[in-house]
Amino acid sequence: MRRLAALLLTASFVGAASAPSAAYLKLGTRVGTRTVTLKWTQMPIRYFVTDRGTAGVSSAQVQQAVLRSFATWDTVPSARASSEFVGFTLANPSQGDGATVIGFQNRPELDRTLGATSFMVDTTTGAILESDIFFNSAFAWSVAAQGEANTFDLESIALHEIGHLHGLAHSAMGETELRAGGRRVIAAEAVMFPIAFATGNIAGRTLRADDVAGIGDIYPSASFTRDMGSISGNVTKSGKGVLGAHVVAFDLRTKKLVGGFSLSDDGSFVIAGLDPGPHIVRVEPLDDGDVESFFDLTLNIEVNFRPQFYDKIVVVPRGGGTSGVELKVVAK
Amino acid sequence: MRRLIIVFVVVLCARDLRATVLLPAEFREIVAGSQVIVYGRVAEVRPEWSEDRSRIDTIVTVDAGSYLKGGPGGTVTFRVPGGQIGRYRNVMVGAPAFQPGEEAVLFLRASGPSVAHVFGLSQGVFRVRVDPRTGRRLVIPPVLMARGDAPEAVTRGDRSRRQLSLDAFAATVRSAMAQPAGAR
Amino acid sequence: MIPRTGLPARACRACVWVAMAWGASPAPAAAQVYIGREVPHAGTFEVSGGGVWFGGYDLGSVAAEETRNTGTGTGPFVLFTVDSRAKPAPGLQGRFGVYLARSASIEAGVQLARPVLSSRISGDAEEAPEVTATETLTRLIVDGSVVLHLRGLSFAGGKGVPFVLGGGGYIRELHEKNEVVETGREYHAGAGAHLWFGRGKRRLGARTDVGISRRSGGADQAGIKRMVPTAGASLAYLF
Repeated sequence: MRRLAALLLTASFVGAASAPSAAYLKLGTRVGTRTVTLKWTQMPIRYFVTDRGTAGVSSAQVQQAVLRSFATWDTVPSARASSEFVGFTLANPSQGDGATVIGFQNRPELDRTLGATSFMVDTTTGAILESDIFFNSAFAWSVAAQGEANTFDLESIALHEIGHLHGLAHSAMGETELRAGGRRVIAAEAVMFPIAFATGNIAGRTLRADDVAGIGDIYPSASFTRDMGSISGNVTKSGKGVLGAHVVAFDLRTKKLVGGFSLSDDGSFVIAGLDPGPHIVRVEPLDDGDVESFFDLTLNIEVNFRPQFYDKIVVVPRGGGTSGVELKVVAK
Repeated sequence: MRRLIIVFVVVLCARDLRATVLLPAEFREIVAGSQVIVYGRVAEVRPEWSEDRSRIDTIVTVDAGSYLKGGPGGTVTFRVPGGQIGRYRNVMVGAPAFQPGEEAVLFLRASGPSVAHVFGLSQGVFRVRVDPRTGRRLVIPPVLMARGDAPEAVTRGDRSRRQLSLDAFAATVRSAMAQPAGAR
Repeated sequence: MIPRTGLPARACRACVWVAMAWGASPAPAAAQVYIGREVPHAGTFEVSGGGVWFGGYDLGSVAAEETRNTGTGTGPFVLFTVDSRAKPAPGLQGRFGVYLARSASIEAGVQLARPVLSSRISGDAEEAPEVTATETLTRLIVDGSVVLHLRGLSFAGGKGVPFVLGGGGYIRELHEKNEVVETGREYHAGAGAHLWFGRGKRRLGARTDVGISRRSGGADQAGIKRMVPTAGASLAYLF
């Protein structure tokens, strides 16, 4: 219990039930005995682009794709994120130079990794000193407007990685299938789903409701607090809290899907960034084959229960929250 | 409002960062693509600057308990991205992190004379946990192995998937070696 | 308040013409039991209050969809489907009308009900058990109607007077906890009868009516227009 708290619990805000403060799977870092949200304290995020392309993609095209991806996050109305392209650099997207650099790099040891985001963090303050994104030039890439067969869409992957750069962790809003050649996405409703769409697919260029809720949760604008609402409650199994359950809210009017996780030993969860109105609430375990994409496996993430729905329509108020949603799950 | 609620800010500590776009491999590919498969206990984690001093990596040394592929040798050493030197921590999201004393089955690759690395960044790490009730060693996560040629949806809460004991996991690895991907 | 176009408009216009034709015909002599100016007449008021019943109606079907990957099938991936329905509900109503002529009046009304909204969740991609989730709405309708009193069809010695009516209104539906409001419009047409007691200028009576209401908006998830049957019974007072 104490260990779990040390791992998960960072800060607790005590506030009115109508104005919950936060909820989403976010990145964090440990500062002493505390863990703090990994986020940029100053905007805009200033970044460089490595002046080196890869086969079929020039450095200027990389810069344009990255610019579009940042702009997609920057224009979310419920968030106050912003960015600024500083210029091209000869530096690789690697740590230690104090600059946020994005670009292609050849990392043969990182097999089966399309791209990744790194942070250099001051462990005494939790401040982000720099963050870099590399795209693995071992793969075939494209920036074609409609996508290109047998190549990965750079803008889609950049949008995902820039979500991480902002502090978002992975979303579980997607389904996969297993086949010879590995796991493949059947469908996803979040750019932050950890597995990429197939080559040639450009669906990952568009943020979904789950992504929008997440970025608003980390960098809330006035409209996020004023116009959005939240659902909170507990997931329990045999009377005990469930850690790591994926709870999804489905807006009956807008058809938006937004997810959150139960993240404490009492199974409590909060899903913020929801449009006001009636919602259906569904709870499911994480893919047990993919837990490490979301959580440290040393945590006792509960995956032994069946997906199920809450038996009431949950109405989310504008600028407030609906609490007390009790989800009682049963073992497989 | 009538009552106050505590809202927890949901964050994960730095070692828990999981944030990389991966191409997940099928289990047989992980087995076939690894030169060394070893069960062991982490003896040492040593962060160091990379050769070009552009990043911090961590060199992990494992006391080998048993080899399922490759070996032999008393210890195995491999490199994972990220680590902490002084007050500065370099985190590559998605990279596995280890603590001394941890047990795991590790799927390692190496190219040329370089230090080995984990298959697929984190896909080649199967942690071993002691079941507090039975005392048995369980391997997590469960193995996701295609049962046939047709795609098979991965269903959350699938009743057929179970965490394997260490012995059962080893048998599964041997079975996968005997029937590699694409050989069905 | 009468709709200008569409089916409700045509229905209302037909009601008006039929009623005017009936209203223009002389009433049977047996019904002429009062001495002096006949009641009701232009300027007479009617107030009524009682119960109302709203029929149930479908609110349509919506699907929770995810964006499908290339090569995994066609169309969006459906995570689950929700079929919603407003259940029949009793309520209260009150009306205030003024006669423009012996055979025609206009009235304003308020109806209040608390119907249960029920959503059946099925077809889960990962076989979550089917569930019917519910919530209780608070529905308020403010409407206006033109009422044509068919004196030519009076019965019970002239005490019973049928009528037809048509009009439109505003719907205000509050979800549970009354923190989320959804608004809509309705047009209605119906028929009923008054049964008046007593002989004076001021009379107590009973009123019943049935109708059909065409609604859009409100707590409506699929954006569909729906027809809702209604029936009401009230005590009425004429003065």
